[in-house]
Amino acid sequence: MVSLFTAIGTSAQNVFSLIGSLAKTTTALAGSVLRPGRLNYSIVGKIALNQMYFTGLQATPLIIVIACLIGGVAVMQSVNLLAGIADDLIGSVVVAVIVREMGPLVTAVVLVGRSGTAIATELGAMSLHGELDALKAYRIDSLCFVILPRVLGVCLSCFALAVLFDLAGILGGFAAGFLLKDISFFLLIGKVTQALTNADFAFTALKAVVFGLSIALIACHYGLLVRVSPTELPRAVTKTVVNSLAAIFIWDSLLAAMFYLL
Amino acid sequence: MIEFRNVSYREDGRTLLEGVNFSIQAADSILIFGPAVKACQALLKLTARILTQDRGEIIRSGDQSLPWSCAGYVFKRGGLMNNLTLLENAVLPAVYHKKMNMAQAKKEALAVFERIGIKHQAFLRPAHADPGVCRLAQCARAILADCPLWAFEDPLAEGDPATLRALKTILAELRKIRKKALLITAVDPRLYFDLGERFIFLESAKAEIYDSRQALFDSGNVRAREMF
Repeated sequence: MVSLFTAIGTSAQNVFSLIGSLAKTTTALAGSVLRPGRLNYSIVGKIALNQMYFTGLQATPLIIVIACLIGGVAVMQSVNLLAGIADDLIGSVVVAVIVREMGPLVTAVVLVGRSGTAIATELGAMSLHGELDALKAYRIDSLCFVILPRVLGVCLSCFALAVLFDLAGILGGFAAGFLLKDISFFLLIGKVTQALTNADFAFTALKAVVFGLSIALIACHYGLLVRVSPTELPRAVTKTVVNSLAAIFIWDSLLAAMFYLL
Repeated sequence: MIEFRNVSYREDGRTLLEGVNFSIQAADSILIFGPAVKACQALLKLTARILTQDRGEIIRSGDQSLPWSCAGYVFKRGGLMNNLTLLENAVLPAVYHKKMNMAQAKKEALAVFERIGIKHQAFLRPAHADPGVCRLAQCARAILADCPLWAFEDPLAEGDPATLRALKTILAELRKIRKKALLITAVDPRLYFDLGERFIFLESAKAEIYDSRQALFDSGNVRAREMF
């Protein structure tokens, strides 16, 4: 019984310690952005663009394929369930499922698998190869040089990919409806555009940025914890995946609750 | 310039340094040696602020708020950004801190690379270059960074003859610049005997400081003398 309480206590301590550390890093990052004298834009920009290439551009085909498939399934299901009963709701269901929920969420899950793991491994390897020690010796702020460009790159990529997911998902849905159920393309467009509001766009953008920030910060946190041995790398990657997924689903629930309550 | 006051440092539960007291002046050339190799490295890294002491104080004179109070550190292995070329690595501190124009910084760096004989490998990434060339690129970075302190981790311990020759020349040239401090750790201090003016012998976490070669040889420390 005591060991059970000890395990719960230790887990809670780890969670709060992680949250504290992430909050501290976020505050420091905000400080760096607000005090631009410390930044060298050309270097930070170059690394951020590099990160966007790997996180955003290289993930584009995968996101388009997944979005088309999910969009197709969402439209088919809503047409099957609602046709003849509540035709007007088809657009709202597509918007709620694809734009508001699936777009940012699936994009974030893909980014955890592709970029979260890559960032944690890269930073862990940098630590093992003495690259971070070199930055310390030359008084180059690793927050500005290592973390900030990766966070910017992942946040912007997550936002761009979520928008792309929404577009591809809706188009995939239309295509599935047209090909399998012979539903007019223009009829579906009309229903979806009628259901879409500015709040949906804002909500998708907010979610994508929050998810991107969480993934990048958690990956950087665990990557930088690697110190001595290469055997620490797989542990860092596993923790990055598990904690990023947990963070994304918790944020998703909180933001969804906020959206429907406000 | 830098003063160690009763500094202690532990790593993985092991005490590497205990109650170390010494100071580094601007023109010092200090050889850190002894059987405690990890302790020598730790002392060098504490000086360069890569590590932080567990106890005691390290007092640095001058304006420490300036990011430019850095150390031109040459690691025995690694220490270069793998996603940058050797040339980009060499100019990174200068471009980052001095907001130096990249093209100008690269031009200056290429001149240094030519002087030390690695210009033809300037555009390689560290993973594709020989370890010796990487160490020379680190030297170029340290020279271009223009820091008040140069720190070398046993630079002549290993490498091909050409690299070792180039490193000896660089160390001799740096030694002549009297405005900056030069710190070298050594497993075999005989390789650097001509370079050292002050000596720090580390054994069992304790440091013994000798302010001249004569003081080292006159000391009763047989273990330290035997290493030469």
